[in-house]
Order: sequence, then structure tokens, then C-alpha cells
Amino acid sequence: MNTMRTGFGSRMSAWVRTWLRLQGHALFSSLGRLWRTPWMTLVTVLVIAVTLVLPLAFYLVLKNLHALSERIENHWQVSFYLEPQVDRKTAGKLLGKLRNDGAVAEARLIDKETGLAWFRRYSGFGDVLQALPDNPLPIVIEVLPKREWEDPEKLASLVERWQRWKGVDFVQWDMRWLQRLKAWLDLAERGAMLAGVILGSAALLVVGNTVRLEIEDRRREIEVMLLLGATNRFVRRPFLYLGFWYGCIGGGLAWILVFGLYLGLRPQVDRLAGLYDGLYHLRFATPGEIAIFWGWAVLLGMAAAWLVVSRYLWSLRHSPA
Amino acid sequence: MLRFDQVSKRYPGSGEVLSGVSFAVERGQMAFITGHSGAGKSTVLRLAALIERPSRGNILLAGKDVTRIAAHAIPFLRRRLGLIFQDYRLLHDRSVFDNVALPLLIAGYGPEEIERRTRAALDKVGLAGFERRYPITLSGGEQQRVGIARAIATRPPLILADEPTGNLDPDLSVEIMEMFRDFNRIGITFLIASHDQGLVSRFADQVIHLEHGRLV
Ligand SMILES: Nc1ncnc2c1ncn2[C@@H]1O[C@H](COP(=O)(O)OP(=O)(O)OP(=O)(O)O)[C@@H](O)[C@H]1O
Ligand SMILES: [Mg+2]
Repeated sequence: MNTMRTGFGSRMSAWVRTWLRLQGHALFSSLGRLWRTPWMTLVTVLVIAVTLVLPLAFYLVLKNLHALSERIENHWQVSFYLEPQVDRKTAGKLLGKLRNDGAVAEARLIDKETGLAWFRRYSGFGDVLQALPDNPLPIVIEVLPKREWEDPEKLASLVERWQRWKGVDFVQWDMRWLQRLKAWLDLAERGAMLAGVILGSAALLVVGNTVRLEIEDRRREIEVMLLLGATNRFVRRPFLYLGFWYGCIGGGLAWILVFGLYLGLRPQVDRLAGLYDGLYHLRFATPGEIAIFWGWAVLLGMAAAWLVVSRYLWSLRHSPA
Repeated sequence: MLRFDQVSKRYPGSGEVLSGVSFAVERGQMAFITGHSGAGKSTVLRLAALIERPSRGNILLAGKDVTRIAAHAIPFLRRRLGLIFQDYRLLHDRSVFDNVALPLLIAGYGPEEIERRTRAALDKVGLAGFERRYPITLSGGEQQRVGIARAIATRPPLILADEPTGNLDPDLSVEIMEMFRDFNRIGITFLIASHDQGLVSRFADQVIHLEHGRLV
């Protein structure tokens, strides 16, 4: 019993050692092969990197837009501009009515004086107002709807109802703008996904074609190996590693290129963001995202190699040699 | 060691290349296949090496029926065979050492074992010291000896050789055959296709003669 177990264990570990040795051999011999034709390798890797740059860049743009729109979407604020003749007392009643409205989470009143003070501070037209005898600003009530009303269509119907209240001049909410942004984001997301798929297949084709040429080059070698008892797996292995290196180096290079783009764009975006309220900083990918995309690139390279070699091995078996 | 039972073979789009061929090569034999060009000698060897499958009949290797063996099992059977070719089939971008070591690498031997067996095989064919040379820098006879070293490196019980001396001059051919006979004496079975009558009558224990795909 005991001897059987150790026998099995040592056979197992011998098998694992053999496996690891073959993997290591294939890993470095394929790297050596790439090194032997440096220009060819460089061009291939560059082409792969360039095809991967676009989907990556798209992804980052979308990520930033999402982050931006999330900030905006927090502002479901609705402003009631009351008619000029409405006084403070009537406005207080309206405020109470709104606070009792089931759709309202929060409401606050901005009286004429506060409004004027803000206007002076932010508009830059303070001097002009100074010259006016009366305060021309209406009383404003700002309302934040409850969570369940945070939806463009629902809110639109709500706003329509409020619009008809007595004493309300107009109710403002920039719905269209939000809706448009959302639609654009959806479109961009779909486009980016499509571009990712198309360009990913392009990378697949590039790796596949390179591996095909390599197979063409090593046709004799493959034939001899099969005659000497090589399994399909043994024949496939160096090519899989070739795909691995293409994916790995191409993916890494793509990230470097995208990082270059990011560094180039960041000052512009900072300046642009500075013109609006807050400072928005362009975001780069997290280490996790980098790892995932890189992994995908490696997988892509290996998948392309696997497909091409398997197809070739299949054709060997099914054609009269 | 090797048995053909009523084996027939037709290639896609060809007539019957072999018709009902039956023979057996016993362990320890030095057997030759002879016959005119196109008689089917290479086809017999390709069937024995499982490069082709028979259209009819059965093939037994070391007592095991391999006629309908699954494709994924073939590599493991091939490792128990040594194959030698008329055109040597060496890899020109690899050194002599790497060429001979290839079947050992494929069979999964460790580096020390590969080193030891490769050197031993090269030594046996008289090419000790040629490890770092490349096949193109060798004469035809030397290249064929590399091919032989590669075939014996895994110490297979059976070696199949298709006109191994077809490209060599008579003296070299005899030298190669003598080398085969030495290996045969230590227990390796040989099946050799040849149309050199002189060699066949001098070295054969057994002759399988084919004419138009039939045993005569
Ligand atoms: N892949 C193939 N497809 C079709 N016909 C083939 C194929 N291989 C061989 N043949 C035919 O089979 C017959 C026997 O061929 P084989 O190569 O076995 O002859 P051989 O005895 O080895 O001849 P040689 O002495 O010239 O090498 C020939 O007529 C050949 O044309
Ligand atoms: Mg022949």
C-alpha cells in the first residue's frame, strides 16, 4: 500500500518534471527564434500593438466619460423660478407644499437677496446690478427628487405637473442634455465594443498569419518530428509560445503607447476641466485593468497560434501526403 | 515483431498498390524487402510505421494489432520504432547533437539522459566529436550515420529503413550494412527496403520480394 503510493507519487513528480522541462524548453527556444529574426519580430509586434492600442484607448475614453457622467447624474436638481410678484410668504407655502410632495427628497428656498449675492459673486455682472434700483431676481426653490424619480422620463412628467402650479413661472431641468449624453455614451460604448472585436480579430489574424509563415518555414521539421513520435501537443507547443510572446510583447507595447497618449492628453483635459466647476483629472487604467487586458492579449496570441497549428496538423492527417 | 495479414493498400486515386500481402518478421531478424521500382516497398514500410493505414487486412506490431489504432496513440508506437530514410531527413538548422537528441527530447528524457544517450549513439556510428557540426558540412555517408544514430538513440526494438544506402557509393553502402548487422547482433530487428541485389544476398536473413504489389 505504502510502496504503491510512493511509486505513484514519484512517477507523478517525474511526469511533472518532464512536463515543466518541455514547457521551459519551448518557452525559451521560441524566444530565441524571435530573436534570430529581430526585424521581422519587431514589425509583427508593432502591428499587433497598434491594433490593440485603439480598443484600449476607446476603453479609457469611455471610462473617463462614465466617471464624468456619474458626477453629472448626481445632479438631478430641479429649479422653480417663481413669478416676480410672488412674495416671501407665498413662496414659503409653496416650499411647504413641495416638502410634502411624495416625489421630493429635499427642497430649499433661495430668496431674492441670497440670489443677488450669488449672482454678484459668480456672474461678473455685479456692477450692472448695482446700478438697478430694484432686485430683478425672482425667488427660487431648488428641489432634489427622491431616488426612484431619478430617471429622465419620470422626472419629465413630474416637471410637467409642477409647471402648472400657481405662482410658478417656470421649472427648469436640463433633461435633454442629460438624455443626449446618455445616448451618446451608449453609442460610444457599443462602438468601442465593436471596434474592440474587429481590431482584436485583426490582431488574431496578424498573429495567425505570422505563425502560418513560421509553420511554412518549419514544415520539414514538423514532418520529421511527427515521424519521430512527436504528439500534436509537442508540435504545437513552440508555436503556442510564439503566440504567447507575440501577445505578451504586443500587449505590453500597446499599453506603453496608450500611456504615452494619456500623458500627451492630460494637460489639455486638465485645462478644459479647469474651465468648468470642478477639477477633473483624466484617469488611467488601474493595475487590475492593465493585467486583464494584457492577459487577453496573451490569450489572443496563443489562441491564434493554436488555431493555425491545429488546422495545419488536421490538414496533414486528411490530405494524401 | 512485425506481421502483415492479407494487407492491401490503395491510395486515393490509385489502383491497388499492395494486394493481399502477408509476411512476418521475427524478432532478431535482418529482413529485406526487394522488388522493382514501384513494386510497393516504401508502401510496406509506411504502413509498418503507421504513416499510412491499410485499406484491408491487419498489421501487428510486437504482437499488438495496430490496424485500427487511434490517431492519438500513434506517436507512442512510433517511439518504439527507428526510422531511417534514403534522404536522411536531418534538420539542417540544428547541430548533429540536436538532431540525434530530438527523439529523446520528444520521448521526454531528462537532460543528463539525453546527453548520455546522444553521445553513446554518435559513438556507436563512429561520429564521436561531430556533435557541434551541422549536417550540411557532412558527407552523404556521415549524414546517413547521423540518421542512424538518431534512429538508435531511443534503443528501439525494430528499425525500418527505406533504401538507406540508395544515395551512397558501394563501399559506403557495405559499411552502413555492416553497422546494421552489428546492431542486429545485439538484438535489434531490421526491415530494410533495397534493390541492391548484392547487398541483399550478402546481409539478408529473410527476403520479402514484391512484384506489382504482390508477394512472390
Ligand atoms: N501517396 C500516393 N498516392 C498515390 N499513389 C502512390 C502514393 N505513394 C505511392 N504511390 C504509388 O504506389 C506504388 C508503389 O509505390 P512505392 O513508393 O511503395 O514503390 P517502391 O517499391 O518503394 O518504389 P521505389 O523503388 O521507386 O522507391 C507506385 O506505383 C506509386 O506510384
Ligand atoms: Mg520507395
